[in-house]
Amino acid sequence: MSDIKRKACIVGIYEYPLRKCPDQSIWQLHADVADGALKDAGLSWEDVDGYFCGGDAPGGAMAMAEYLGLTNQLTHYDTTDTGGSSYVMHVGKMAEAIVMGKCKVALCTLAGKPRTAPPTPRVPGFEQGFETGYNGSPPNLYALAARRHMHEYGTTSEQLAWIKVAASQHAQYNPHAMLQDVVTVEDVVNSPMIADPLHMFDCCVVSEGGGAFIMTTPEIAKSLGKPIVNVLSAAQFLKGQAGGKDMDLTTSGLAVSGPKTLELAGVTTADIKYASIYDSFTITVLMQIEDMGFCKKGEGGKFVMDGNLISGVGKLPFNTDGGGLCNNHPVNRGGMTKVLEAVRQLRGEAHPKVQVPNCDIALVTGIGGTLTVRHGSAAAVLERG
Amino acid sequence: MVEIIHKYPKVAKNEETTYFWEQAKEGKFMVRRCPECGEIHWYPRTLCPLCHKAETKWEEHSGDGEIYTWTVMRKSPTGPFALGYVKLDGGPYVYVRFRDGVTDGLEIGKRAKIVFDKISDDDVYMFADLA
Repeated sequence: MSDIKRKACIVGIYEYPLRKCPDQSIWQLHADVADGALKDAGLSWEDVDGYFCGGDAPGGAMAMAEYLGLTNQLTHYDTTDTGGSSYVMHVGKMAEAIVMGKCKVALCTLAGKPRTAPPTPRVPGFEQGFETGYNGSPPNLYALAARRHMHEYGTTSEQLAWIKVAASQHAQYNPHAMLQDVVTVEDVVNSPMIADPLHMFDCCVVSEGGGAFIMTTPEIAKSLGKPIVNVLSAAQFLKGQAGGKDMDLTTSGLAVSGPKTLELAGVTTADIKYASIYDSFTITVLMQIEDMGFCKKGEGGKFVMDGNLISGVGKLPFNTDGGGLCNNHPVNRGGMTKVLEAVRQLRGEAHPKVQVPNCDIALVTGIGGTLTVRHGSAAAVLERG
Repeated sequence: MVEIIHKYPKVAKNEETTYFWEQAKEGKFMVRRCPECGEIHWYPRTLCPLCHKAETKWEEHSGDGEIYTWTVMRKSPTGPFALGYVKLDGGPYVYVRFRDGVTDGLEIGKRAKIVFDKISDDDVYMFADLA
């Protein structure tokens, strides 16, 4: 039983409509997405007493809260940085803070401009001398997992391509999506090789903008008259090299945090009507589907084939906004947009072509940092209120 | 040692790793083994990260191992390069970049070894090569 179950509600969401933002500062984008989410909730800036951010917020929560005009009113603030999973982790942390009475209206923002200038890298740890100089970029490092998964389980590029195909089928209905063209398996496997065995279309978009969400108490949520989304559970697990012993790069930390989230929520994979699955790369999705228990380890390739992730076609509708693979992966951090589309689905506010009928339970996952070096995994189960 | 490669950043060293890089200049690949659990770990650190029971001790390793996984980066301003994990004989998995120019013939299970190449007047850096 989860101590946060149905004790905190997401009441406001906002996704910045642009994917390139030449005229806005990073700080302005944070303010704009916060304002959008507060307006969506029917709350005001004065109501915010909790603020949560990740490494995209320059200077962290203290500096960003100052810019946002939130200093002198926050009773709780939290900078967490496990890359793109931070915002999925914040679902749990915000709920915990609300349940513990540390704050009543919690705001989480993400924003940035990676197409204008590379985001500030995370401050390196001890590994700097042994890793940073190799200049490994995300496509390299996720390719290491794809290669090993193919070796151990016979997973193919065509199977991975089905994940992009499904995302593109959804993105065609999203007027804000960065890539709106439907692609085929052939398109994906014939796109340029970036880092063997990952092709260009196996990779997510690089986009600017951002998003925000607001969480509050059930009492305040009811008073707002908006559709309520309950948090049922959240869990996290940190996976890395662990001294270099017993390495298994075909499994993510979600193999721990995923089943734990389901157990805490009191649901099984069969109850999940919609899933926002972190999609930095196609391989990221495939491994998480296995690690969540939607299929056995090694059978993810078969699971994602033939449109099984397409809303209205397959058993597990995923990333109906087009995901990071086609719609938006702002600041190279996809966790925020994963939360936002899950909320839209539970509110019945997804595009009619991709809305899952009777969507009452949704899963959100995140893999942040680097899958094959070290990553924070996070998962949350949300429920239509 | 091959010609000096200037595209790598200055090697970040600290009190725990200066000895490693000094030995690397002599072509020696040093690892740390725990006297309590008997295991070698990677990257090298003082308190054993596996059992947390003792301070580890330096010893030389042959650098021999086999490729656990690999990839070749095709879109790099400095040209294609390979990254991978090499499982050291009797020891840990090591995240490593392959020596400049080594992008062909890589396969999971193939023998590989740790090597050091000069990247500046002051520094060598650690790479892998096919055995």
